[in-house]
Amino acid sequence: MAEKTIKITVRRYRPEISPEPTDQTYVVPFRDDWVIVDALNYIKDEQDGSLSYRWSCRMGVCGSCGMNVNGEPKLTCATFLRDYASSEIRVEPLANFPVIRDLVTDITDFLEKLRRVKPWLIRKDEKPVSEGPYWQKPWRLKLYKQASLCINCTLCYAACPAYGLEKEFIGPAAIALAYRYNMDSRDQGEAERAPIIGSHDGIWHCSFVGECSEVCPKHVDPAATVQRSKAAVTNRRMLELIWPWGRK
Amino acid sequence: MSSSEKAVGKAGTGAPVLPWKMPTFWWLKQRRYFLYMIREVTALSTAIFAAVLLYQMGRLGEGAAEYETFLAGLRSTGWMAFCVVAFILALFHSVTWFKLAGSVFLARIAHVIVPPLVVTVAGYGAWLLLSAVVVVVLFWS
Repeated sequence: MAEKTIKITVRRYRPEISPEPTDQTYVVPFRDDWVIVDALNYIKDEQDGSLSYRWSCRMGVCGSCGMNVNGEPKLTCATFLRDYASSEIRVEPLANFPVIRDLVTDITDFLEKLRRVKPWLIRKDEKPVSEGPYWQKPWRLKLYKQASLCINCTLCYAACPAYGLEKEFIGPAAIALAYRYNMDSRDQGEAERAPIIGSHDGIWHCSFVGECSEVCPKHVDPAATVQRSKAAVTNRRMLELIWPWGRK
Repeated sequence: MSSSEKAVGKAGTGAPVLPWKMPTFWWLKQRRYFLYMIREVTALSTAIFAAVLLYQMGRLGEGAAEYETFLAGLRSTGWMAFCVVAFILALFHSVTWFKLAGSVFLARIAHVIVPPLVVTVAGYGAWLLLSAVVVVVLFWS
């Protein structure tokens, strides 16, 4: 009995061959337990070693294998061939990013924006190690735990039309991580982040399409964090207006 | 110039990077994008309805005869059709708004976070209750 196969069309970009992207179709074995990145590895190992793409952990943690699969941003290590058994599969680089080669995107812009929102604990006063850790109660952790699960896979950026249209937009994941630290009771950096996420490039670019939350493989719900950040920044500004002498 | 454009040429061996171009009809490429655009368009019909309502209130001061003439104009098939469409769009906006409100509004009672579904259901409940009050007041007055 002939082995069951499936067609995978890959959008390729090889600047030394063509300045425009081209499509290339491969036929790979259909295995019930294969994910898209398994099929890409098969192509690279057995059919075409020139195919370029990123992957690493193969367990939905590193966030490096994000690609558009049949038009939707997906982690290809968590997307099974069997879910597309009745159709062809089209794999493209993540939308909204420049393409370096084949399925490899340039995420420099995202990394710079992530750095801008200062996604780390900021303290005004550091206590000595001898005084022990900064304790946090479980209910406080619940306020931001969902946002802390972000793996920087950039699927939310690929799904966000606001980012696709307005490149200055800080974007969903960076704002979600700013929110994560703002909600952390050990952090004292909300005042430092407020002018960044509340700036022209920040939260006000978002018109709540909500697609970032739909595609997030970790259920971070960036769309909700952006809307909550809008409320928090507005409250902060109103308080500064009413009580300019208050705590900064 | 955005930072991603600045990055062109930096990557790898300096080979040209393919810039991203947003398709003009991106909102037709996916059902959820299309529904989002419909939700945005609801603002337009609501704004038109509100502007006509404000104008109608202004006409009240011009006397009963003038106002009746204006009301007769509002009973035209075109305006009635617009009202039906505007009502459906307003319903769509309200339903989607309350659906999203659950995840957006982080409600907390003491140290317990209220589940998003409870917030959404409470929103729908309050909306229906207020709508019922408006209907009762309109028909009894």
